[in-house]
Order: sequence, then C-alpha cells, then structure tokens
Amino acid sequence: MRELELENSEISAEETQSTSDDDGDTCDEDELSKIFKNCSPMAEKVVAPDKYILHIAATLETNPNAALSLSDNTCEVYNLSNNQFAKLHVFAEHTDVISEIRFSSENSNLLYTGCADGRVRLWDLRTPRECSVEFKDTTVGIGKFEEITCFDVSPNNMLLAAGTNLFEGDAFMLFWDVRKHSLLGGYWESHTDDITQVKFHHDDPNKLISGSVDGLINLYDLSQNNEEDALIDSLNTESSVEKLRWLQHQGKDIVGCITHTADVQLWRTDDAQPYCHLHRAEIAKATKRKSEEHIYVVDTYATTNNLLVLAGSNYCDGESFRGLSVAGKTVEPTFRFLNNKQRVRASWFNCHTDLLLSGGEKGIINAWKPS
Amino acid sequence: MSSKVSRDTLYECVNGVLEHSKQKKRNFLETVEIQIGLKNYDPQKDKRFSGTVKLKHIPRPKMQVCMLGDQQHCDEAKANNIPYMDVEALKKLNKNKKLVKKLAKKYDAFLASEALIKQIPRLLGPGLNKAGKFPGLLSHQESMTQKIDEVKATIKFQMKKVLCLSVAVGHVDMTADELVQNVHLAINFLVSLLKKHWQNVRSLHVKSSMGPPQRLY
Repeated sequence: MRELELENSEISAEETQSTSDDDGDTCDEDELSKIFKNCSPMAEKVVAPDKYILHIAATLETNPNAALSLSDNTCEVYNLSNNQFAKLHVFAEHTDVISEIRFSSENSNLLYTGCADGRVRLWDLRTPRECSVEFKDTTVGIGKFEEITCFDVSPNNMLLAAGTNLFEGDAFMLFWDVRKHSLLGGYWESHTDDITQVKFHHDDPNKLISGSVDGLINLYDLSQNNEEDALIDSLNTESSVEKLRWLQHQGKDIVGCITHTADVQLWRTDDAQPYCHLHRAEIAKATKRKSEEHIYVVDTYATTNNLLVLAGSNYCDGESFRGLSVAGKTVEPTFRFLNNKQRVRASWFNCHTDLLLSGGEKGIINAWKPS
Repeated sequence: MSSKVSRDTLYECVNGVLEHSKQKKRNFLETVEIQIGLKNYDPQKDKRFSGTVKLKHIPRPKMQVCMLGDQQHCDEAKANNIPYMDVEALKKLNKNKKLVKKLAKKYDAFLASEALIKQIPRLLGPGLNKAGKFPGLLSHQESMTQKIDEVKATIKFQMKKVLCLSVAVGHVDMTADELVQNVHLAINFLVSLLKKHWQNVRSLHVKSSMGPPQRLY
C-alpha cells in the first residue's frame, strides 16, 4: 500500500507550465564513486535491438549457457566464455508470450519454457530441433487452455508447478509429474486473481510459495492431500505481487517480494508483516536518485553476506542501474553498473561465481562481476 | 512530478460531474471514477499496471470492515461499535466452506490481530483468499479506527488486456475539494507507474456512475 500525502496548495496553477520531469543523481560523480562500487560490463551483446529481453536463465558452469526470452516470443540460447556471448540455438515455436524460462537443476542441457499458449515446454539442447516434452492441462477441453504466467520445478526435479491467469473465473496452479509428463492436478481456491509467481523452496520439494495480483503470497505444504490443508500461510502484501524469490540469509529463509508499485518487501514466513518494507522513495534515496517516480525494481538476490536489491530509473533510456545491500532494515548503496544502456527487465545472478546477467528494453545482454 | 492537469481543469471537470448528478438525482449514491487510456504501452511486453493506492478522502464510506481480533482488539472493537469476531467464533465455522463464504460476503474487508492472522488458513481454509478478502494486519501499535479508515481509503487498480483502466476515487456526496484532491492524488500516482509517465497517457476522464465523462487530459 502506498501512502501519499497531499496538501491543497500543492496543486498549483504553475504546474501546467512545467513540461519536463527531470531525474538525476543527488550527488556528484566524485561522491558517487565513493559511495558505490563501480561495476563495468565484462561482456555485452546486442541480441535484438528492436525487442525486449524479458527473461534470463543460465546454467551454473564457469562458462555458462544463458537463455533469453524476447518480446517476439522467441527464446535464444547463448554461451558465455572469454567475455563473449555466442549464439547456440533459437527456439521459435512459441505462439504467445514466453512467461518464464529456467534450466533443469540436474541437467544443464534441459531448458523449460513457460508460455501464455498454455504449455510448459521442455527442450534438450542436444536435440534442439524440436521440443522434447510439452506439459499442458489436458482436462480443460479441446481448444481451451489457461495462460501460463509462471512456473517452477521442484528441487528434486520431480514436480513441475505453474501459475495461470484467471481462466473462466479461477486462477489456477497446475502440477505435473516431470518424469511421467502427466498432469497431477491443480489448486484454484487460494487466489482470486492472476497468479504471477510460483517458487519452490531450494531444498524442500514440499514447500512452495505463490504470488498474485490479488496481493497475497501463499505458502503451501504439498505433502498434504488437498488445497485446503496444503495452504498453511498467507502473507498479505496489500499490493500486487510482481516477483518472488526465496532468499537464504544468515541461515534463515526469507521471501523477497517486488510489487507492481515498485516496493520491496522482505518477509520471514513466520511473521505477520514484512520485517523490511522498502518504499519507492527509500529506494530512490538509497540509489542516490532525485525522483522516486522514475524508480523501478529489477530483482532481489542473496549474496554471500547480504541481500541485494537491483533497481533502476526509467528516466531517459534507463541508464541508471544500481544495487543496494539490505541488512536487517538498513539499506546501503552498493553497486553502480556503469555503461548500462537500457531499462533492465530481466536479470540472473549466481553468487558462487559472482556473475550477474541483465537484459532489457534495447535487447542488450550484459554480464557483470559485481564483487 | 509535475502534473499535466491544471488545478482549474480539475475543478472544472469535478464541478461538471457534481452538477450533472444534482440535475438528475439517482436513487443510489453515484460513485465518481477516473478513466485512463494508455498509449505506447504494450500489455504483451510492458510491466503489469496494477496495485493499490491510499487516497486522502474515503471513497467508499459504507464499506463494512470486520475485526478478527484477539481479546484486546475485540474489546476495542466492541467499545467502538465495530463488528468483530474472536478466535472461538472463527473455530465454530469449522472450515465449513459455506459458512466461510457467508462470512466473506457479509463484510467488504477484514482486519486481523497478529496472533490471529497466522491462524486464518488453518481455521478458515482458503475461503477468504478466494473471496479476495484475506485480512490486513492490525498491530497493537496502530489505532483501530484509523486503520479501518485506511482500508476504506485504499483503492485497488488493475489494467487487464485492454489499454484503459477505470477506478473509483469517490462519490457524488463528496465536496469538490475532496474529489479534486483524490483525483489529483490518484492520477499522479498512476502516471508515475508508467515508464514514460504522461507520454503513456492517451486520455484521462472523470465521471460519475450515470453521468457523462469530463475530459481532464
């Protein structure tokens, strides 16, 4: 929930005169260099200049493969080595928006893509000509399908879960058996609007969270027989959930949530409210930007010591892209990503190899080594 | 952020809405809504446009909020004539779907004490979630009446696949000043969420339920 105070006097006739809404840094270059650790791109490639990069997933190797989904509904796979991105494959079979992509955690040749055309596809990079498995809801009737908005695979690679937009009045979570490729069932009672995120816990295959435009983050215990018993907790963000992540911090599980109103909420699942709530104004202040109205949030990650929040400014072409560290409730400016050229829409971070990938609205992929 | 809508235009349009509703009285309280049309925005690739914003003046005064309280909050609710239920009353619903649905229908929104909010899925199942009425938290540091007013003043907005959005920001019994403040606050917040701000706005209207739209931008 955003709180805005307004005095009557603020609505002045002069406002009509003003034409530009400037943004800029709150301090000069010298000070910025002192406050932030400067970070230059170690690799950059213009993948598709007139398209957006909307999702990124990568493998864990030193020279990883990186999959990108683009706004023309294709998915491209690159290999990153010697600071160069080399194109390996293009998957162009998707007939609607690709809503999420991820590599299998047990076999880095396997790539899942979720699509609004109602399917999660599994691709094998060794046989890239055709999709090797399609997961879809086989119970809705011919010609009908739920638009898949997100998905995740359980840490033991047994279970695939996907979230959907409202379909005939219900927002579904669908579950498939990864080995048998078969639909196991679904939930449709716990959200009232489009589901935007499903995320398995990194260790516990029975622990799953979902987020929705209805503002709830639901926590489920999938070992239970039915949805009613599986729903063990609801965290009310009182906003609209854009992105969720399980973060490990000091041995504790934290849920990092980004809302569609560009707030960050950090929750411990045992609590009744977020232990840290960063409003847009605080993010602007910590990233040393003047205007909170231009702030957007990219993602939250756990680093070896801290929690990292990536945020940018929409101003101009969105060149300003920065990182903040959050410890408890305190926020510190940390990284400044130099020579960023675009509004960042997707990112991927591996804290073990310290590799951050970012992609955005100019179709550029960047690789950074923040620490 | 500078507004592209002047104070004069705001008053002119809001007064137009109010006059029209006085000329033709309806036998219900007309809501006042703003309608925003977008351009250079592609729902296929741009971020979703949805969320909540708290207005200065309560747009829906008749909203009924029920307190799901611990002992202290139940006592306070009782003293303030606010509907409430304690944990025993919730247990009696026994996860019965019909009863939970009935409860969800009876009120527009719920608040819950810290001790209760974590038990709600276990006590009631997903019934309140499904109704879109999972409670907000009332902590012991907050004032109950103030928090209820906040709930009443908070509006949800969401754009689906069409490039326009309509959101209620008041009603025709509000003063022009109150409406102008709510309209101003709502449009500035909504516009700030668009990546190119006013360059993404095609049109902006204010209207009452039955009245003609008045063009703000």
